[in-house]
Amino acid sequence: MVDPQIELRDLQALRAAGLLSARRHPAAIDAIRDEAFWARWGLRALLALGAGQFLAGVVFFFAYNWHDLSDIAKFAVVEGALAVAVLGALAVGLDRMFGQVLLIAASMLTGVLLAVIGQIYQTGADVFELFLAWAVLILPWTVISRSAVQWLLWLVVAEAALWLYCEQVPMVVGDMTWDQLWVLSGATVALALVAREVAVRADFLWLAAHWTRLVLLFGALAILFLPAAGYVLDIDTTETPLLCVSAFIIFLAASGLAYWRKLPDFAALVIAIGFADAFFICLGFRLIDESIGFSLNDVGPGLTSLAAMIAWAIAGTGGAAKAMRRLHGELKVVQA
Amino acid sequence: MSGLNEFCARIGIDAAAVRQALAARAGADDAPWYMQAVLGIGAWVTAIASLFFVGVMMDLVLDIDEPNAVVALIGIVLFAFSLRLLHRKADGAFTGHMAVAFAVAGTLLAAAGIAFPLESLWVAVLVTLPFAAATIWQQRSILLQFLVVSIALILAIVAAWHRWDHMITDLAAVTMPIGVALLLYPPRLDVRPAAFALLVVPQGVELLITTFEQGWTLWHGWPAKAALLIVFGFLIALNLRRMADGQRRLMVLAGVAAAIAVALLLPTGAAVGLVLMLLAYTLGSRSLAIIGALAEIYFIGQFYADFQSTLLTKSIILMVAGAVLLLCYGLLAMATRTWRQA
Repeated sequence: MVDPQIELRDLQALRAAGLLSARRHPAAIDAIRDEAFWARWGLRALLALGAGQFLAGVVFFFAYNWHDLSDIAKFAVVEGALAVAVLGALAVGLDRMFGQVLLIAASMLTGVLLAVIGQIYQTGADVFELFLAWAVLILPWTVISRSAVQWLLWLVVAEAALWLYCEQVPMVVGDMTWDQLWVLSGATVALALVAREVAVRADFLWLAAHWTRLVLLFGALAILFLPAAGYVLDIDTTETPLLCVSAFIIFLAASGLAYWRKLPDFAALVIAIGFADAFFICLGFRLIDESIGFSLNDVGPGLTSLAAMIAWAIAGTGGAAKAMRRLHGELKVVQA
Repeated sequence: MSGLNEFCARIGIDAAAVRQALAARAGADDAPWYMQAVLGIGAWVTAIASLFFVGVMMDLVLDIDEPNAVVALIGIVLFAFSLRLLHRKADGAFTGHMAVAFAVAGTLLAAAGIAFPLESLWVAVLVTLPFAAATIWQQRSILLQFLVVSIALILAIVAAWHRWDHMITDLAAVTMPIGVALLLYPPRLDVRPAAFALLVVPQGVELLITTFEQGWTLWHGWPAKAALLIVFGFLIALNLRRMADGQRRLMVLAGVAAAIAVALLLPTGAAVGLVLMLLAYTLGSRSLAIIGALAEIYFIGQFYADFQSTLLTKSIILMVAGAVLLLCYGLLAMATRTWRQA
């Protein structure tokens, strides 16, 4: 007879049926929990937390701009740490987690070094130049890193450079609007997601961790959603509404279709459906406001508009729930 | 994940009875937490629109200026209607969502209707308790249980702030031991959503307020840190029990020492994140692991804006804490390698 699998979420059913006592519950967890996975996770979490806190401490230290420390000492500390991190990464090897963390530390220290140069020499350069230089300098390490976290760090630095450049150059002379910047930024993150999918298909398996897809998808949708919702809710005076709304809808539809048909992924679809629901509710708010008006001082329009809003929200989230339930079952079968 | 027969043999329970219990549960709400999060946000939107609707009706139709017994009654009726709807049509996506949203709105209306005339936030907290109990008892919607328990917790936090005239932080240390106990030693009724609310809601509220205002901490956060250390120690002890090897025990004890040092050094919010991550490890819960990691990242970011100490002091604290954790990692990595070779 086939021995079916039992999962952690099944334990509550055994508790409810009185088959498992509360005292024995931790032992039952131990019997089911994937020990090897969690041991690996525990070690990685310790390494990430330790390295993250140490590096944050270094950043705080140089942000303090301690005047008692001479300029040469500041350079010596940062450059010494940078050299140790790079040599350490080379010695340990980039196939190992510790080596990758050392390379990430080197990338962070490069940013700190640029900030220290700015502090000491007061170059008068625009801030975007610092971030641009940072992104360019760590690009070679990123290319050879074989680390998804390193790539994410590079993307964040490059995005910061893009935002600061647009703010400090084309927007100052009126060549670009805020909406266009949001769409451009969302499009670059969407492009990174496409690149990730292509790379994984081309066997760059170190990029295949599921979280990389979810982080990029959520980031791209959130960045594109904000200007589109701002226009729909009439919060912002959008100069290019068609661009904002169409960019969001096109990317939403494309990603939804891709993670439904091409690369079935329920978690990614939940993100897409969540944003679709939010946009649908914003749209309903505007439509009701334009047609009936949320006039809370008049009985008729006040109650009618709010009742319509309740019905609209129920339709939106109820529809989302229906779609998610259906997809949950469908994708379980596909992935089984 | 493990084979059912192997699991039953190890725990000492009847495999046939387990099969029967799992078959009886088939079709129960097994939506993952991120799907519940999307539905929860949608339920809040619908609940807010419903509250506005009742507000306008009270003001313009019933001529009631402030919440009173009539409003409380409307809330109770709305809540009861929603629970009934959940019992009769729990499978319907639209009715399910409507029932959850209206039950949330009903709870808030009842709390406002009874507490407002008495001008007491503590009364509002007390009013929400039977509603929370009803959502636990009904066992139909884990989302509803989470939302109503969250309302009770948020009202309790606001009542505490009001009582002591300060935005008190570190309240997560009070609720966390209860949440941990409920997840590790659960009762027969499914209280996991309530336990999750106890673990994450106070932390979430603190996260929100410290973005805008410096909170008030009792005795520099030492009582909260002590409570968290007790929970931390308990979880470590629980993990030690599953290890037989003497060397491994030594390594874990080194980790305990390091973690205690870090918990004493870091702000309480970051210590809460650490406890959540250890609980995730103990339970094998990926959702808690994500929440714990996000809490850690957020509180280290927030630490930058903390005015209670200089950037120099904070940098030393972080570097020492990071070094201790890295040392701990090194010891555990070495130990793991030794076991593999053995």
